[in-house]
Amino acid sequence: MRSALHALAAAAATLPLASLPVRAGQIEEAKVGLNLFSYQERDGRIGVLSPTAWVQAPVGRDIDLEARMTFDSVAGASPQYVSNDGGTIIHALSSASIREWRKEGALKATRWFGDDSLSLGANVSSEHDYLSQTLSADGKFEFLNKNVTWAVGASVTGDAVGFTGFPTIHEKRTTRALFTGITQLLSPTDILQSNLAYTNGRGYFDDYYEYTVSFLGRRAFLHRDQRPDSRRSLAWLTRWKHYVPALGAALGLDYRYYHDSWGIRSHMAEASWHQPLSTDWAVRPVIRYYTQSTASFYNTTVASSSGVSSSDTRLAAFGAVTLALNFSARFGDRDTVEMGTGRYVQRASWRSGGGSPDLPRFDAAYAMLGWTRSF
Amino acid sequence: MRRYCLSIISLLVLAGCANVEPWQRGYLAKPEMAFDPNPATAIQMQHMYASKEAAAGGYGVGGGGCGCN
Repeated sequence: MRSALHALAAAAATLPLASLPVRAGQIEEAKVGLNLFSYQERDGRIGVLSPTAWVQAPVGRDIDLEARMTFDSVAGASPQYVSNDGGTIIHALSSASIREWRKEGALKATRWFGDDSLSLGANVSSEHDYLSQTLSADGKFEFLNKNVTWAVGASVTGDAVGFTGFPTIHEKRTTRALFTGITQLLSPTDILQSNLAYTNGRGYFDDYYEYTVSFLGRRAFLHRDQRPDSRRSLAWLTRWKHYVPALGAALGLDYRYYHDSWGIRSHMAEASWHQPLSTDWAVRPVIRYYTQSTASFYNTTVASSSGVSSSDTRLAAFGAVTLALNFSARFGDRDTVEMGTGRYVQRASWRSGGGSPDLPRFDAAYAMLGWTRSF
Repeated sequence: MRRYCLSIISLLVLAGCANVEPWQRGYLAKPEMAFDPNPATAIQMQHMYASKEAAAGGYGVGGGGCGCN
């Protein structure tokens, strides 16, 4: 009887189920997709319209190729300076509406060696005053009867920074990154992933378009944004997915801890619930909470026109909440349509222990529409 | 750094404790159990967050830089 059970188990292990993509695995069918992402900040600030086209396909038996192209159209007013004129801190926007375009292309090739894989990737992002180029390599290795996947990777990014109106200024920044992570099957309904990512950047980090104007007594100081010329960061992300058979639904919980050499500490927690409504329709509400402390050089008032200091609100202390609702629908065997909308809100008071005083409210809304066809 | 290494080692130890057989992975293979149901959307969301927040990363390697942050 025992040998019969063993034979049955061995036969079951060879079923196609064993190779189903429990984690990101070898591409079994070609797919093409189009996504349209729309983002709008309130009070006349930045709006972005971002179409993306992507394709992934197996090439031969052991090689997969993935390619993606994104085109961002950006318009609106952006933060320009912070002043204490009149006795209160004012975060002023640029008086003229900006108009920018960003093009991004990404290519990745993966070679499979049985269940293990090695990938090489390249990414280029281009704006009229910014060029970013990344090369990356990563590997995924299966262990313990494919209960464990170990991922390891590295990348190097070279950024070239220019400035509108200052054609002779060219700055550079290089960022090296290391990544490792483990994905573990915990039970027939639970899967856990934990990743560590380390970055080490050197070069130009300033935002030349932003400055701080401070009036102290009879003296006035104008200080252009100036940051350290290096930044090291560590992010630890843990993700858990749990399937609820009674409801046919999946719960997702993510948590990330982050800290960097600028003194910023951050926590992020996200929960999602993927609920099928019928055989073809599903809904996925998402709630996300994010909080961060200030960078050690964040100041909204300066007493000097030089030195490391920034009033960029992204370096302030605040809390942020995202509420989102996503729907997906299958049409036949080949087509899937996804749509979603969400709202992202930042408040200084939403940070546990209090955020940066005088930080303006920030509200944004986004919507996305995506179509995928399988071949 | 030491506590992160310890955490990874703990996960490796945990890995040795659980064994889900191939025929028990039907639920885990469902599309809704993917960490990112739509990778293109996930990239756009991470890009949006990276342009408004100081922290980023942890999802993998290969993302490019951007003048927005």
